[in-house]
Amino acid sequence: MAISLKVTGMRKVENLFRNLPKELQKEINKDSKGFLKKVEKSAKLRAPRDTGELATKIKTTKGKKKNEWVLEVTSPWAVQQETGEGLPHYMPISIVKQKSRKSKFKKQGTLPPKRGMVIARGYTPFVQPALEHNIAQLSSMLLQGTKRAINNSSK
Amino acid sequence: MSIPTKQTLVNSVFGIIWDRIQSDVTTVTLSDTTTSTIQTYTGAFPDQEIDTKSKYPICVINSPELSWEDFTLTKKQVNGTFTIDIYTTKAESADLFLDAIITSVEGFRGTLKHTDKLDMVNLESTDSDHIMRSNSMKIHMRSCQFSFSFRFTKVAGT
Repeated sequence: MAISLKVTGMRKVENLFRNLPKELQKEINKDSKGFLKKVEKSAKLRAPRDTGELATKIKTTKGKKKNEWVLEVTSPWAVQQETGEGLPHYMPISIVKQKSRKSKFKKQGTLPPKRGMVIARGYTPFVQPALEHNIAQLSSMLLQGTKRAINNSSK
Repeated sequence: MSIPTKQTLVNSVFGIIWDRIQSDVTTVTLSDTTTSTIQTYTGAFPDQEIDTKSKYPICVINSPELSWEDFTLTKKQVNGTFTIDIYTTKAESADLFLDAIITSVEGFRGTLKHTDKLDMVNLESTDSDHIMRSNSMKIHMRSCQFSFSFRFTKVAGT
């Protein structure tokens, strides 16, 4: 007795194996960017704002390598605020006299002297807390991306 | 706002969502019967106003992000996402505004499909965050991301 065997759906399997690496790379790239955008948003929310410059310098950019995304903070004060490196240090009182800081002294009922130096001690980490807040979502984002890649590549 | 075309997709989608949210999502009533009204609608993260309590609630309607793929031999499909963020000083109002935004976009899907040719508008994900900005101000952030697709005819011979 002759047995006839018919396999259906081979084209889909072929498509899956052919397209999966490309689709996977595309989706993972998209999710990496999405994840860093979330971290950027959280970091901006947490960044200290004496002049507002630090928050505006937090950016997600394309890296030098293909499919690489980088969260960068281009302000010179970023490392100091993040790690407290170089603190405590002296700083000119003219910086304290800037508008945003002056209002704080006004509330206390005293204005700072016109000349001299002050000691800067405090720092506020903003990138690491943002990363800690969002890192739990990374695995589920990558999982969703992988599912999308498998669905797209078998079409 | 103008109907989206291949040439004006980003601007048109942004305008459509902006108009819709601005007219539809304005005020919510909290459980203690007080109301909260959006003070600032903006297209980018409010770097300058973040510590000004009177500017809250802030609604940020971000520009859409797009990618293309082949749909048929003669058409291409644009897969896009747009994100709406809401920043408030009360957790409850943030949740209520998020619900209002989702309801507004959900109720708008028919118009988006038939008038604006934006298909498959779906809620992709939501996100939340909160941070103490000072001793008296805690900011609550809620965010929702929607996906959509738009099809257009390819340039002949490509």
